[in-house]
Amino acid sequence: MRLAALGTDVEVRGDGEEAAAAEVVRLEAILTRFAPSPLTRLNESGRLRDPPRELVAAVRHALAVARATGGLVTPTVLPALERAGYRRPWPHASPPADATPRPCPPVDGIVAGRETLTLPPGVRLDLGGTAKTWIARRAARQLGGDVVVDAGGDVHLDRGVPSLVEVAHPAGGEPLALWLGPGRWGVATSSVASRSWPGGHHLIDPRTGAPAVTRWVQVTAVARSVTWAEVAAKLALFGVRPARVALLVAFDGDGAAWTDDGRGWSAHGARRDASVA
Amino acid sequence: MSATTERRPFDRRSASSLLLVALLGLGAGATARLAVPPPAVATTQPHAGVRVVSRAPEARPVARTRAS
Repeated sequence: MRLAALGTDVEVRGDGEEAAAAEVVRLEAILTRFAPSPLTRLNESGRLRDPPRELVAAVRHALAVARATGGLVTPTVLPALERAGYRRPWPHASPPADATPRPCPPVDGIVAGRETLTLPPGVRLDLGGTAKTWIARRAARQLGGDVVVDAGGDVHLDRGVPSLVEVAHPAGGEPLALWLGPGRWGVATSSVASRSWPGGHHLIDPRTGAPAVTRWVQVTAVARSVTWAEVAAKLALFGVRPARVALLVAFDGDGAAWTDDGRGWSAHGARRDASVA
Repeated sequence: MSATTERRPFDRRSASSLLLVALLGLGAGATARLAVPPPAVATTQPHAGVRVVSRAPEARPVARTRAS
């Protein structure tokens, strides 16, 4: 079942697709920053009493990711995103009105209590990619059988058979293909070429508060969880080698793809027959 | 599908690869490790169970990962 959600296309596959799709929609309504939601109320007031437990859980997840990545993947990125021009739902981003980036604040001081959520002064949250994959995993809990949840290209798999997953080429070239063994996998892709606009793109480097300047155009990470795969892809784009990944595929500015064991493919496809095991 | 051109696998002994490592090291030291992986330190065995494969035209992927 396909649905438009999370600012992208979502597909849920398995036994119980309707329930999984409903879960995606329900959680998006709580966590979105683009429509009135508990998250927007928190950002407006800096404090939210009796928050939905899902918001508390998603914020706690984002805080855990921020701490695990030394702040490189942080929910405090919202003011920087807005300064970079991403203030409205995609594709309505615009060139920056304020060209002076400021580093994203640390997550210290954010209190994610069950009874009250509290933000320090000046801190506002965008749960962004961490919420997308967090929702994907929550939706997957509604599914049985061979499970696939594809949240705009961030893919949760839990299947009893091997899975073939394509890696889209950032410039429309030949996709790579990944063959994953049976079991649970997460595959996620992050790129500075997507959601980009004149003078900016959506991937903010929290160290500067500006759109990241990266060696790679796009990175795909394969891990045992889609939440970590999404984080790992961002880390690799930021130039940090992520732990706990099964595979990284990075595309350079020439459109060539490189895996983290050094195998390469030209922008036109070339060899795709090599095992990286 | 158009004719394809194979890019040589990374080879630290080649001059071009050394240049790449140098550039990566200057610009983003950690990404250089994309090309030269460190010893396995992960809880998930690197690459275990994952292969980059040629896809037969009739094979249908279950998903397509992309940036969105």
